[in-house]
Amino acid sequence: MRTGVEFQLITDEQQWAIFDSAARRLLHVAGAEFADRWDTGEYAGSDEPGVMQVAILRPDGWPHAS
Amino acid sequence: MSLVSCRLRSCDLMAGRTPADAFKAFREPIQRAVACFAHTRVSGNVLAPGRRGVLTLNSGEPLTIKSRATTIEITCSISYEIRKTNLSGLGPWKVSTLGYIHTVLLNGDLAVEFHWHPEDGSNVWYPHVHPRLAGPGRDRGGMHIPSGRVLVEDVLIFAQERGAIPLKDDWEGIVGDIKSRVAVSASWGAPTSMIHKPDPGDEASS
Repeated sequence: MRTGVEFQLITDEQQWAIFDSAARRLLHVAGAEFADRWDTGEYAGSDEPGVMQVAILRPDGWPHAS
Repeated sequence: MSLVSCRLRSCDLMAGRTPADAFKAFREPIQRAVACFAHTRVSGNVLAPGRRGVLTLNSGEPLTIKSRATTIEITCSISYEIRKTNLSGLGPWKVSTLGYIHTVLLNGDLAVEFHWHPEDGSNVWYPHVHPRLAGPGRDRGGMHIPSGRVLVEDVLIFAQERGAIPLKDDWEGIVGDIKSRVAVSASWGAPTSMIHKPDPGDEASS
C-alpha cells in the first residue's frame, strides 16, 4: 500500500541513536547517562517535561552490559 | 465543516498471519493518518514477537505540521509488542500497544503531552494528559488528567483544531474511519476511541 508517509525498519543501534538524540535535545544529557539515571531510579515519579518522551525511545535491553 | 459518518468494519486492524503482517496492519493506519497532514517517515525497530519495540514519527524529532498562524509540531512514539492471540478469526499474530508518549508544541512551546506508560512502575498507570501551558509543578502542567486512550489520530485532530492545515480534503473521513476500526479491534479504550459525526438525517441519540 502506497502512502504519503514511508515506513523504515531500523536497527536497535539506530533506535539508540534516536534515543540519544532526544535525550540530548530535551534533557541535555547523553543517552547513556539518561539510561543510567533511569535504571538507578533517579527519574522515578518525575513529571519533568521530556523525561517520558526520552524514556520510551530507549531500545529494549540497551545499553548492553559490558 | 462537512459531516461524515464512520463505517465500522469487521476486519481486524492490528492482526496478521505473520508477525510482519500484524505489524504492517498496525503501522499502516498511522501512516495514512499522518499523511493527511505531513510528509515524513515512521520507523520501528522490532518485528520479532516477544520483544518490546518502538514506533516513532520523524526519527523522534518534532514533526512540523503545515498550519496557519501558529507553528505546530508533534512527536508521537508508541511502545509495542507483537504477540500471539487466541481470539477466533484473528491473527494468530497481533500487535499490542504497551505505552505511548505524544506531544504537541505550539510556537515552539510544549503545549500538551498525552501519556500512557504503565511499564515504568509508577502509580500513574492510566492514560493521562499533561497541560504544559498551564505552567510547571504537579498541580499545574505536571498534573495527570485521566484521558482514556489517545491515538496518533487524536493528536492530529487536536493539531487541526489548533490551526493545522490538512493536506487532504477528506482527512476527517480517513481519520474517523481509522479510529472506528481501532475501536472495533482494540482490546482496551475502545469506547473512548470512537468518534461519529452524525449525518443531518440521523436521529438524535441519547
